[in-house]
Amino acid sequence: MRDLPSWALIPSVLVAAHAVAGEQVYLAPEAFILQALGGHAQPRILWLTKPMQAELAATLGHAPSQLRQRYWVAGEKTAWILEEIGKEEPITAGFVVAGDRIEQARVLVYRESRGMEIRYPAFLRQYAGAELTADRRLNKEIDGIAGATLSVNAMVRMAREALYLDRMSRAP
Amino acid sequence: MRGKHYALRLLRRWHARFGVFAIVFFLLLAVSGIALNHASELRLEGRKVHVAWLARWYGLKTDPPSGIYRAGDHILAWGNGMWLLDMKIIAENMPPPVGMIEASGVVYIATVDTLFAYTSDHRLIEKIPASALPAVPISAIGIKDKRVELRAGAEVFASADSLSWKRAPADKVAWSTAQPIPPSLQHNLAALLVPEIPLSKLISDIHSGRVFGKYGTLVVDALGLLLIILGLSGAWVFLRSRHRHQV
Repeated sequence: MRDLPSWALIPSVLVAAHAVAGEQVYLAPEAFILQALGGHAQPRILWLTKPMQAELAATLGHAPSQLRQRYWVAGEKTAWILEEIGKEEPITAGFVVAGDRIEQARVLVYRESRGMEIRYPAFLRQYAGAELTADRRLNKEIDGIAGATLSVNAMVRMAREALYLDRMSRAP
Repeated sequence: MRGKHYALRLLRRWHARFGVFAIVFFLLLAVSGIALNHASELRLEGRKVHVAWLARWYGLKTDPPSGIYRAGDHILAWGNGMWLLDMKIIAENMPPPVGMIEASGVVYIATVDTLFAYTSDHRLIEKIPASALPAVPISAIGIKDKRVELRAGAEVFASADSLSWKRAPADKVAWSTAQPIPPSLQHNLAALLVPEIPLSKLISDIHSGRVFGKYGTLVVDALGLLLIILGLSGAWVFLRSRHRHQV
């Protein structure tokens, strides 16, 4: 993608937008990056060192699923596309972080049979401005949604993960 | 008067007998109910049960793998949505792979829209989504000069690090192709690729009785009625005993 024209995105958007059974694609991940950071976002890789894996395990409640995390940078902003299991299936969400705070949160792909109310802007707006505290929590309370507790919990975990990874990506 | 006492004794005796009989089921219902209410804290979510007889009990048939991919010393098989790398389950709920290669000690497995990179000891390095790939759908993965090569439509893209991709000529690429499964592996693969059952579903089905089929729910209904009868008979025995003592 790096040295390819933007039209090269089209087939991937089409494939990503294809909804398989039980999978709702609200926004294709590449479209999220494009919307959030514009066309000049640079992809980067963050390798998760052992201490980072331990920190993430404490943040998420389980070991991180992969050894390196891809992210996108544009100026002071970073964008993260993360996955976390709600009840049975992974939820894909996008986060934009700027100045150690979440600027934007979006549900990109939802695969669970219930709890998809977390995609609504009224819920997602709560994450704007959230920061990570010293004990790995968000500095603001996120109101839950009845019947979507596990999905809300997954979103909160991903928000904390995005803030932690953003901090690590800026570490010297 | 004697008749009333006899009835009370009889009721108390049968109340105790039914109570002892039912306690096993009530414990099962109570424990499974508590587990379901605290599925998140107990980390039941996302856990799967791979047991052949249980899958058969649920009526799930094993879909035997149709082929394998080889790369270096590694063997990839797939079936029932699972991937087996070197006979170890590495991923679930997965589409069929389009191929596997090994480059610079990293095992790459491609699906039509995602590239997975694994260490040689089966740890996921990264799931590279379509947004980070040069083009999709991917129809083949190959290797040439230690570079990963992806074919999408009529085009071929190459990368040395799976981060940046460039168009490349399609010649001399060793494309990964599915191979027939050796008979010696077939039985082991079929046993390992047993369909999975989510643990929370299993507990929920035990709780409702659905795990035992349509009669299971009726049995649980009967246990519910039994609980009502035991509650009423227990209350009656208690009240009658208290009344007797007061008299």
